[in-house]
Amino acid sequence: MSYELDITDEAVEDLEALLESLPSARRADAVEGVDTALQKLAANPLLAARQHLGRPTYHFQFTAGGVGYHWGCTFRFSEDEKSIQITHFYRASAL
Amino acid sequence: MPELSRNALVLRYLLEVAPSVGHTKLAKFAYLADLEARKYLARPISRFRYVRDQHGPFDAKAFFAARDELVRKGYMTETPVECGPYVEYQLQPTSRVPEYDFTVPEAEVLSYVARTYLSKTARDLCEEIVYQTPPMQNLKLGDEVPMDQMNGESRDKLGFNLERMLAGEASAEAGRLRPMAEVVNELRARYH
Repeated sequence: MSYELDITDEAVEDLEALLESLPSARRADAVEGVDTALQKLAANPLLAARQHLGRPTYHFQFTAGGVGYHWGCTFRFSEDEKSIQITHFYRASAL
Repeated sequence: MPELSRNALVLRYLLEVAPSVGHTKLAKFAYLADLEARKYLARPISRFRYVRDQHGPFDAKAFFAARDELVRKGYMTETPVECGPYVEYQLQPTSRVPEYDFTVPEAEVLSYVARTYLSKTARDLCEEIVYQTPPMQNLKLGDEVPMDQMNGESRDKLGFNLERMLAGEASAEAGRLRPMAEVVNELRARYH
């Protein structure tokens, strides 16, 4: 069973800034790429590694408009361990 | 103005998270915290200037000055403990707590380092962690440790940002969260 996915306001702003940094024709693809990657994380949080002062960190890749992107996010688990709470989105590196 | 120097505050904070350590571990915690701070904040937390000492990166003069300051002002005790043929010194924070002036990210880095490496022996900490850090490579005894090379690997404004991650964590802690599906749907409506 997958975890529920929640996101903080700060991480929403991070994600919006990342999307806005892309050419407009690629943003729709990027939204789908991020959603697909997060669904994989929700199904299997072991895809994440401990980085950034020990926080669970998930790096993922997707293609938008034929161009590859590599982004990452940090998250924490809710106290009842039913949901993943995304705390930060960032650009990991260029492909 | 804080009653203690910056270096004394760093040692006292580390000691609060990781009490009962000796000189070696405390000095190495400070070094590792400065490395992490340079990586994430592009600046160190302490004012130590590390040189390649016989036992790794160390600023002996400044370290012992900070130690003396903490003991003299009643923020720390130092107790000799026999370890076989050697005498090690166990450092303990007293109940007197200084007024720290660290930023939230600095405090987080200090706590992380002390928590993460507390369980390691001084030898393992040096050999497995400290000696393997990039600035410690290819140095001769007495060389200044080139800490600058760790300064903010990426200053990409969309790259990882410790302050933003901590702000996100504070929001999550306070329950300021939205379902991701709702956000994705909004973004789809905006960009499709």
